[in-house]
Amino acid sequence: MTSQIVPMTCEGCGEPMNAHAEKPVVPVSADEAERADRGLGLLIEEIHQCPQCGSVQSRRV
Amino acid sequence: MDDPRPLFIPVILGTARKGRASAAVADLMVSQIATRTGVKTELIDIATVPMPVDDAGEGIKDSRFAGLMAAADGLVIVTPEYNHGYPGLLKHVLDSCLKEYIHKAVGIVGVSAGGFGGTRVVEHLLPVMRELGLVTIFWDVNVSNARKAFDETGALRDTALLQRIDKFLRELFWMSRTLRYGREKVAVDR
Repeated sequence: MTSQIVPMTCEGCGEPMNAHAEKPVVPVSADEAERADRGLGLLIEEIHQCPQCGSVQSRRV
Repeated sequence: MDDPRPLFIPVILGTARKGRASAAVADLMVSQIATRTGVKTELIDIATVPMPVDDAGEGIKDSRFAGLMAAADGLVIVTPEYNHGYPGLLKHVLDSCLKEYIHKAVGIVGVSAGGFGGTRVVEHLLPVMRELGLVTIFWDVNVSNARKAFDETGALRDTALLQRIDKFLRELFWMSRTLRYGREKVAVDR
């Protein structure tokens, strides 16, 4: 399976991480509100896990 | 999935009430997990998680609790049933994290003073688990008459409970291994 999500780089070991989930979240700032989906009023928080060290990171897009 | 790394399955004791009967149940779950090969555990007593009450959600994230949740492959939540629901402090603590939980397994242990073994609190927690991104197993552990289930030394009186705990843990470990593989190896499609 391939993903179009740009992998995050693990802050711990520098490995490319695996994006395994997208969670709809409520904007918490004016900037996020500006970037939110117009119809849903929500952002997507991508959840990434490092296959090397197991570290978890996320990115709101 | 021949992963040599041990699973990390902490046990959350979900009440801070004085004299809580759930403490003996949480200790039992920790001791049962500790006997299994390839699994590490740790008791997380929510009474020791510093949580302000003038805010809520990820804004009050505690770094130690968040670190344990990030490191976890699965969770056991031991919760009493208070007025047919879950303790407010348990929800307050759980709500302080999000990404740390996603696509991780969770099993719920319901505890009650009466005869229903916390079945109502287990049902009430299921939608909360889902929204946090946790994946529930279908085995529960239900401890009825919690004050009588253990003797004064904290030893389990009703040893029939151990068989149910064994089934619960076997499913939880399977789910935790499977989801760890998925989190690390299988990308979501967009």
